[in-house]
Amino acid sequence: MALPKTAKSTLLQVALLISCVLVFRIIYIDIYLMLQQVANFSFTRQVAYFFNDYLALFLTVGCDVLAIWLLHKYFQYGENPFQRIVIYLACILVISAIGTIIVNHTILFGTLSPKEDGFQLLGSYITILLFNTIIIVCGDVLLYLKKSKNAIRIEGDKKRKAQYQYQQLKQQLNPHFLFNSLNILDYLVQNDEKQRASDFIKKLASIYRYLLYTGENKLVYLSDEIRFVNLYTDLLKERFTNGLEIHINIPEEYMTKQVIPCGLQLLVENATKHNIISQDKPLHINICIDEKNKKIIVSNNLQLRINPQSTGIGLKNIEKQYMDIAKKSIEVIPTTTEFIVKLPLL
Amino acid sequence: MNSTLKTNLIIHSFAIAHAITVIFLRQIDIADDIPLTVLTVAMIIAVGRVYNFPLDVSAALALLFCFAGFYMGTKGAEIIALINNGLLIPYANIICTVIVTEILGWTTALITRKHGSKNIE
Repeated sequence: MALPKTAKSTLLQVALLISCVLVFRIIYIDIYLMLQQVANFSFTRQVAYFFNDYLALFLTVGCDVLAIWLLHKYFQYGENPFQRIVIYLACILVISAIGTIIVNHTILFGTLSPKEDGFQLLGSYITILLFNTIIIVCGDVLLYLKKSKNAIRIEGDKKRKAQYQYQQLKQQLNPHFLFNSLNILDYLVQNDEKQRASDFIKKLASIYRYLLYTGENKLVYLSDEIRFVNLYTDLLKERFTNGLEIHINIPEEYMTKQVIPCGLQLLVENATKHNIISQDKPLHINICIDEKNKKIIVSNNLQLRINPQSTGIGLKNIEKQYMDIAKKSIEVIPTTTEFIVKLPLL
Repeated sequence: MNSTLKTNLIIHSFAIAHAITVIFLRQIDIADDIPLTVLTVAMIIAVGRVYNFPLDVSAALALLFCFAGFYMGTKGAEIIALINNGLLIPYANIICTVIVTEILGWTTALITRKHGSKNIE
């Protein structure tokens, strides 16, 4: 069975990379073992020489950092692995050569025999080579890990935003809300209540306009959101008449604070969705300010429906939005008599 | 098959492959360093592929881990040979290569599993 072209290319790249690493490793280890046998090579001694030569040490580390930065800047991870690893190895070899020349500058111009010179230089070179390999590989891997961590975070944020926008979109097109609104409108028209029908249409249009224009915004002013909630509750009141009572008590100075768009409306909608609303048992929704904690409180008396279908996705989305935007969490306090949600004011 | 199971399978298979290579090459008296290096590099790249880790970063890790493997392998075998008055000398290389392969494999898995692009997708 023939392999697909991409699989062949990946296999080829893997084979090339393995060969590169292998050749590098074999040469290194073979030289290391040869030096141990013929020249009594001491790795520790060579490391000590290198670390005692501050100029060589700092210059080598500086070159390593520069190489990591250039690799990170001009060669994307995973784009051309073979090319990148070859440049990688070239950097290590060249920087090690520079380090070796500086460490051994006295030997290079000294009086030792050519054979001793050669072993000393080679020993020094492979020691610095290992040092550079560790620095460059660790630095590059750490940079990649940092980059991927950022990418994961950004993707997570995008995902959550998309999820929230999807929820908002569903909200905009909520067939139940539209269906109920059209039923009410039909009722008003049938009863020849022209003014009420006209007001109702205008409010409905304003609601959709608000949803349309704030969909892209991360935050909205509290004054705009309260205006929107008022429009929304006016429509709900047409449906529930005296069964729904909404009290909004927000001091003027808080109107310039910001909240996430549709957050308050979603809480009002949740309250009407999960609780019984009737003239005998009216649902009271209160919207006020927690001045101490700088939060807006939405509370309602608890008279749960027998078969409430709740996934809690609305509250979770609000929570995620606040976490993403301001790293602040919302408070959900269910008691035996009340359901309270506190949203941070930003 | 989920990623953790794949990683387990890869690492343990390569550890066994290392052991078999050492046993086999010892018997025919051939140096085992090159085949073991190939296996180690292949294992690191395979584990990286499970989590969509870029090939070049896997290769860089392999480069570093080859040196670490060589050092840990030779020193580890010397230590194992000292245990129990040299009772384990015939098996020192096999035990050591399995332990070192497992260590390198799980270190790679630890690095790649959290930061591979699979998490981004």
